[in-house]
Amino acid sequence: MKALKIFSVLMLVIALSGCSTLTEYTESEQVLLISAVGIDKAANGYTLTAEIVTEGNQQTLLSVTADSIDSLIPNLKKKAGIPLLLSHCGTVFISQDFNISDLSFLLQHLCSLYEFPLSSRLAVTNNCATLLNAKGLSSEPKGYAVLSILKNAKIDSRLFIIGRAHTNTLPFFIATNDYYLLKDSLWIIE
Amino acid sequence: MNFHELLGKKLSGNLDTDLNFLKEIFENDDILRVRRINMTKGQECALLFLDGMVNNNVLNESVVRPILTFDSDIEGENVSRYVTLHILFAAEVSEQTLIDEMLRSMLYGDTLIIFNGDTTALTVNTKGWRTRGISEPSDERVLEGPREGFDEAAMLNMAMLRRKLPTPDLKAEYVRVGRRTDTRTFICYLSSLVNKRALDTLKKELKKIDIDGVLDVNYINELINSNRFSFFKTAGKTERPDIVAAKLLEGRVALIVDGTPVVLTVPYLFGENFQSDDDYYQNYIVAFIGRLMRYICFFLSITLPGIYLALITHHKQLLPTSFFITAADSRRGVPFQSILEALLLILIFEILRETGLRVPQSMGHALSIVGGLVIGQASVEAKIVSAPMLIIVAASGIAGLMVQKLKGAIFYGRIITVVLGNFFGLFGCFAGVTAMLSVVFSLKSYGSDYTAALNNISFQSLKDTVIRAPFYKMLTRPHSLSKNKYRQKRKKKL
Repeated sequence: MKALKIFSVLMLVIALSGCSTLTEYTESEQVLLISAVGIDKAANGYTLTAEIVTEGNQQTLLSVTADSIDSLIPNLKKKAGIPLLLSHCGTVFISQDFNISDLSFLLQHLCSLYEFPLSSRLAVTNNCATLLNAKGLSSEPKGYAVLSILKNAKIDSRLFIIGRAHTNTLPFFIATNDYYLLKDSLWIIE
Repeated sequence: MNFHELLGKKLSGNLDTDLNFLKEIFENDDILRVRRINMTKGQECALLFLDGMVNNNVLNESVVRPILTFDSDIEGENVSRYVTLHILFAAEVSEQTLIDEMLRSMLYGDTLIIFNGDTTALTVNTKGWRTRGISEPSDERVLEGPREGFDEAAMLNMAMLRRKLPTPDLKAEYVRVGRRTDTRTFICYLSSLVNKRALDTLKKELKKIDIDGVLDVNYINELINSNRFSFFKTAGKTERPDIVAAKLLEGRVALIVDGTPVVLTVPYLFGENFQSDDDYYQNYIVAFIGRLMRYICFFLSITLPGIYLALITHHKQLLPTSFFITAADSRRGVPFQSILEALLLILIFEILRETGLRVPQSMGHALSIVGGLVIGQASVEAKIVSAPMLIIVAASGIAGLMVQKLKGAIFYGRIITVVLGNFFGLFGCFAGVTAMLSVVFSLKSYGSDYTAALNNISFQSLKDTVIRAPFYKMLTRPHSLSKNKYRQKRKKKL
């Protein structure tokens, strides 16, 4: 019986030591919470603009450039210097300059990042960095930029939710307004 | 000189010699009173008693007066027998030949009568020491139901129990424990219902006790309990005769120890921790809600700080964004790591709880204001702790107060889940809970499975554990406790 008890404790310790959470310990205030990201096409690749929530629920932007989409997030982590919390990223903006292959690759990449939430909304805009820099369409002085824009999207008629994603895919937005309309009117992400 | 040195010794039959010997035993003890009496026809005797331990009226009227006023011849050689049968008015008189037995009785309030020319002495029941009296136990108050509680005198407690169970089936076996205290202990049970295994184990373990003194039932509990390192209680304690009677009716054994109002009951099952005295004195529907809440609060109390810690340090993605932002914001400026913050708050809560128990009742309100409001609010404002952690630990602490009988287990369980949750996240937290449940399910209380009712789940096994079924549904006794299964006959439907 004693040997069984020792064995059980040993097994528990071994099982717990293999726990990935051992290495993922971070205090809540020591991570950068990313609430939205925007990816634009740049001359030499892609630019990622991340909206970070800082102390007092204030937002700040962090931008990185990379020659490929899959290098954007690692570059962002490197630049930030402290752990990023992507799991609360509510919206992914993409530039209207994206073509189908860019978008497919981006979506595949995002889906492969286990820390990235599959419940994020996807929106299309002409320039993500400009949109994220905007202080919102509402007149509220402390408005949360992205959320405010989405909240007022219908009024502005720039962004409309038109569908939900299939299983294991990101829900998606497309713009129906002519100004923001993608070349292909509807994307079904498989 | 203690009893062991006097074992087997007898009186000489010479009054002077015997008195000198007894006085020598009580040397430097000014409580001993000796009254020498010359009876009629030249017969001499001496009364020995301890001042304050005897009822003087009983002593005077039942012993002194009859001896002094007796003026006939004492017939036969055995003086003590004659005095017992023809002179003393006392209801309870015993003949003693061994000195250690005489002293035991005398030390417990009896009056010892020794005679010249007789090696047999008499002990007369003249006990008259004061007791606290019957009052409601402060820790086991009920809204409805009986309000009497045990006293420090074992015989009075036995009488109270006997009044609840006026049946010859109730047995009370007398055992003495403690070399110097010679504590009187009664093993009580209902002979037709008792769990024989528990009774035999208890008797066997009591015999093994060899300690100087037993001043409370917990001495015995710790000495005989086989689960020495468990922080789960495996023996029940109560100060209420109605509870003891109810437990005896289920086949348990009670241990009444002189000098304490607390009575030990065994076997003790896990479900008993969640039973409240009030459950049986109010509507079963209300009682059921209360019991269910106790189970929920027990698990919440153990896991809440650990889960919160795991979420904010390892599983941030599981928290709603707005809540995470609030939690992270409130953590900014706090000098301690989250785990230290949690442990510190748990410790402060325990200090406040313990202090609340110890301080006079009149200071309780001041303490709650200082502890709850001043320290709580000030520590958040001073950024010593974060507000969400304070709320979580306070909620966990309050939930723990619902299950007072498991306060030790809750405290240690909480610490374990906090530590494991901090290092291993939710996985560690639940591994800790699983390990604790494994311990609970492996425990035994005096031969019975600690979680007997949960091992074979059926309505009858759960009727007084997780739920509190109405009395008309409680047809059987707990299976693991008594072989005499049925407690009431099933009524035929009209």
